[in-house]
Amino acid sequence: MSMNPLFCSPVLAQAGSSAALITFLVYTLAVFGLAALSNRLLQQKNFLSEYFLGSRSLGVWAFALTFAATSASGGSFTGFPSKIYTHGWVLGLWIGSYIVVPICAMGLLGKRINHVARISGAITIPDVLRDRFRSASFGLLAVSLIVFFMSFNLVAQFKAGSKILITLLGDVEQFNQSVAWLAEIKSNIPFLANVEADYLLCLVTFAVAVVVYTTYGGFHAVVWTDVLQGIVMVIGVIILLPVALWQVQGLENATRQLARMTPPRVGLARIDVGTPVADNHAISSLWFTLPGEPGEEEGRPRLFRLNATLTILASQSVVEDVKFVEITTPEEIDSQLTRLTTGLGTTGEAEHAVAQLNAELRALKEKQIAWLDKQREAGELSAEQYSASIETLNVEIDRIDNNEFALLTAPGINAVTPTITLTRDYVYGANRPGVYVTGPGPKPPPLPQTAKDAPPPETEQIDGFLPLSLAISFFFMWAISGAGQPSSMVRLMAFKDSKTLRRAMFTVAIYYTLIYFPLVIIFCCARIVLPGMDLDSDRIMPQMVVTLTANIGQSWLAGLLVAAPFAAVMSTVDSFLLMISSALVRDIYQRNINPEASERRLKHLSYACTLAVGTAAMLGAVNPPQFLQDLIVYTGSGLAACFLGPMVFALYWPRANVVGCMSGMAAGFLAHLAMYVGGIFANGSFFRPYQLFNFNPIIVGLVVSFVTVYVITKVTAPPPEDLVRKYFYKKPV
Amino acid sequence: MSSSPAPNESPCDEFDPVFLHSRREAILIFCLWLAALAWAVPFCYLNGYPDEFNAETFSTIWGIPTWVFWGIAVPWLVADVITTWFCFVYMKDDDLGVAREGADIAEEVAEMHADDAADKGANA
Repeated sequence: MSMNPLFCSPVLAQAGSSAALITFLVYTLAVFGLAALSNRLLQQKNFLSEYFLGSRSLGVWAFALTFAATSASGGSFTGFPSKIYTHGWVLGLWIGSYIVVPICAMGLLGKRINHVARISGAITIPDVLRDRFRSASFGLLAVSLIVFFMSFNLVAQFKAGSKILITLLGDVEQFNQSVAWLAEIKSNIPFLANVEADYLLCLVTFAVAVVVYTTYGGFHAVVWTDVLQGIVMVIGVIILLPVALWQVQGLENATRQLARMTPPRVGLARIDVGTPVADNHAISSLWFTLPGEPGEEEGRPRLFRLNATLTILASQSVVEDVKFVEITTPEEIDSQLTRLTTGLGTTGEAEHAVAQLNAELRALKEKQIAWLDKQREAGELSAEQYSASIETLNVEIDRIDNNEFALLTAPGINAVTPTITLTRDYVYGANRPGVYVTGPGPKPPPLPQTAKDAPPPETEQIDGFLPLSLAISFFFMWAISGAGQPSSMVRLMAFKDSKTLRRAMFTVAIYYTLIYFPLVIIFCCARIVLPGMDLDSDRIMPQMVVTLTANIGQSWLAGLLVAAPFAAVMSTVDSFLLMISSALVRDIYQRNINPEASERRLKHLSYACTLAVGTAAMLGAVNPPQFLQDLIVYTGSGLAACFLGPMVFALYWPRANVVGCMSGMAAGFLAHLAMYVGGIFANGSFFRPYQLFNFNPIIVGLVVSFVTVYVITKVTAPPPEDLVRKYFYKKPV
Repeated sequence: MSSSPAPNESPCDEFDPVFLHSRREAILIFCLWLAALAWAVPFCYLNGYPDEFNAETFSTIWGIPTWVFWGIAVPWLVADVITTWFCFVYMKDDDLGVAREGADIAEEVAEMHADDAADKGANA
């Protein structure tokens, strides 16, 4: 068994650049092909119903996979693996409510919302509420909330998509050439001055792909690409699971190792390479050691991993505030040191790792010699100083050529001198074996950007990752708030008949079983296969894919499997894009401004709106606001707090009236918002919300919303009888 | 939530079966969610959040920590079995009707024209 976790920087460079590029191109072509097919359907049917709802004709596979893929989002393949890696087996409980998510999210509202939408001819969620209560104001309130929440979310998803694309294409030669070309162009545009060129290129590529196929193909294009993306996701997991288990010599072995593991220490280091370099120089080898503390058993050294490629800027010799992870489990240190030292030289991959380190260090020395040459030419160095320095560097080059260790601080080489400037223990779980296999799971400390402005470490007692109250909150969060997402609800209006709903619920239940629990297993194994990535854990999914496929000699697979998170983000973005576009065209323009607009006009407006919303989101993501991940959580839980209560009462309670449901929607919004605003006063940040009785704001929002609808409805007049008859009673034959 | 305005002198005073079936199914689903919550969270908390950890006595089943196995993995499979039963035995196949595409818009347009006509009549 060979493992190659030593060098973890350029993800697909390891897998072969062309595989990544070909995968992406094939993927994009397939998506455009599906959009073209969908556009043909638009020519044959009622435009708005087809464009925004697929003419309510989805069959089992299309409905099941579009529902599953839209709900999954990029988080399932980036954030979730990262959390498993960081906190361990407790993520089984965190994701626990997924055992009932398919039946809850599809079955609670599915049949009834589809039925009600057919009675009224509703195409959107605001349509359903407006028609059910015959209230234009309710429709407008719903539209406003959807546009408000989803616009922020869309910007965040665009950024996530671009970041994943960077991981996918990073170090592909053609990609890097394009980045260099773009960097030159954008340097003349003030608006883009502070934007990284690789991020900008990926953002534009991602945006153009998603916006074009969504605009051109509409709902069916979104659904069919979701099907494609859903298949990619499940295949990825099914292939990764056995390979991961094989790599760790069985799950029993992996869990036993995790049980003995203690969380790492994290911190900042100052890296000194001695002599300045003539040009920028990057070193992608990340591991280094320092002498052990006095009294450390068997003279074991301390083992560290940097979190990213080390870049030394021209004319400088020092890099400040480099983040590192220090491995603390003696068994893990020994095993990793074995891989990094004596274990090397046994396989082709290991030889490659040493050769790469030696090449990078040799290039460093050559750039240092070039700098000395410049100094000599400029008269800054005397002949004696110059020749002494050159002689020293030449000796170091000889040593580097004979080096056999994959460590920046390999014995006999003085190329790199790390100095620890700040260390932090985990705020929960430090020095405690067993935290990765029990609750509440370890919790890492916040790490400042620089050692100078570091606040003192927190001394108060801090809960672990998943205390009891949060575990209960997440049971609400996934199953109940999943049912309350408008993007899920609109899919429930699109299936063909109730037989389709039944079969799709079964399909999604099996689909989620095949994805989520196996992901917990795979990324618990990742702690064994790829140690030290705690500060870089967002990249654990692609890195794990590359490592596993390389180790079984099937590198070509990596390109396909790394596409899974990209696929997940695409499928979320396209559905949000259509939601906002439908809100503008159908709910605002057609229903409030021009009900008699011609089909041709609506068609042009729909294309224009989808294009405009997509372009605006892309521009918003060029300089995205901070706290994007928190923003996604805020908008997702906020939508559920606003929509679930009113929708449940609207569908299942004949007595429900417009005043009660509108009040419930507004109250859910305000209660949820109040928890976040309370966070400013209680915790110093909007995105660290106040937790009433330690519960997540979504629970507060949902409870307030449900109670408000019920109470206000009871004290106000019943709804008109004809409305109740229309939606709740048998129709006269 | 069953109180409703009493419909009178109507040709059909029975609730729509789609509404009744959907409501019955929704109640069962909610109970299923509640049961999952009532089992998984307390079980995991009582068995998977120890005050003291001992690696020697820590138990697993097929490599999965015992508390995760009985608290999440087995309930997951049970939930899949219940979902299968729900989808293929319990849930009714209802006729959801034919979509009245554009009916809501047509209704509003008709109302709008009626209002316009009334205004014109009043002015005349």
